[in-house]
Amino acid sequence: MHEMSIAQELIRQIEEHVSAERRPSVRNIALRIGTLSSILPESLTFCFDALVNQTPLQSAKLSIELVPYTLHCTACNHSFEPEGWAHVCPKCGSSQLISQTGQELELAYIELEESPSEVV
Amino acid sequence: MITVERKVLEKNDAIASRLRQTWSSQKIFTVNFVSSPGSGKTSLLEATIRRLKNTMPMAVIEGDVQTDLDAQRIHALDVPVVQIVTNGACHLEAQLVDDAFKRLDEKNIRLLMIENVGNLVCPSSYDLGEDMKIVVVSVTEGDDKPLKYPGMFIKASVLIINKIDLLPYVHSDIATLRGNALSINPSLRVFEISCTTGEGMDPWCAWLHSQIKG
Repeated sequence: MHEMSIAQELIRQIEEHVSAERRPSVRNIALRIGTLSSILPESLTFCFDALVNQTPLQSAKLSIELVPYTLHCTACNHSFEPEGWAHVCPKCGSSQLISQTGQELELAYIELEESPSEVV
Repeated sequence: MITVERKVLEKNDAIASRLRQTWSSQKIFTVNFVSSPGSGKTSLLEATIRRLKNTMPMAVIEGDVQTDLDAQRIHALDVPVVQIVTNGACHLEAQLVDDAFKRLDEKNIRLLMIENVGNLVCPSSYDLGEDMKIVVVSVTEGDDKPLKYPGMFIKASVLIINKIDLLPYVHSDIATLRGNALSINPSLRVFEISCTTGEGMDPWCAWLHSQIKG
């Protein structure tokens, strides 16, 4: 249950990127979370919503892209999503594998609702 | 739209990387012990300290949600120790370790052992600047632990299977436990030990001693 401190850190980063007066217009915050990052998306969303309640960021929503666990075979350059935990390349049978994705916890972008004056 | 593309924990990672540089330049080998509560991390530290404390200077940073009971146990062995009380937080963060390291009276050490809060989930997300994570599993927890908490086993370099003296009394199969862990992370180095009987402590301590820099 470390999603609360992660939500706090996320809000700190959003505040670094969005000036105080533009914060009410933040609509969507896009995150990339690896399936092996030990982060529960539902729990992170719950904590984030609780922290932004009655703040300028309260209408902001998290949209979370789950990044699958993938391995890369250094013998034949094949990248794949492993089925189960057998560490064998399905293409060449090598076990020289390095993990490629699945550990992400990244803030990708922030979407603002443009106010009419900003629309040209 | 504002493109950000930042790691959410980049602040923690920056502090961890600074700590790693500091420890590397001071030739301090640092290990981060992670496990469920009650796997025997503190007992493992005590048994390790008893065997190695006369061979090199060492120190311990203890992390717990409450109390300094663990620090008292380490202090009783005459090894410098600092207790971090997280007051509810389920893991240690690099800033807490940085503060704790500053509070250590003795920094001329070769081995720094950090005992994380007992939790197989949250500590896996936080780099503390350690050279490696060591995951401890006791046989009483069941042989399926690695499959249930793969994130931690992927990040660890060493697995210590503890309480092997209790194997006759539990349903855990040690070969299954080892096999499950190695299926998740084939490069894990595995030690089977009992802090109570001392079985397996010699190979573990010899290996740990061999990691010391300079």
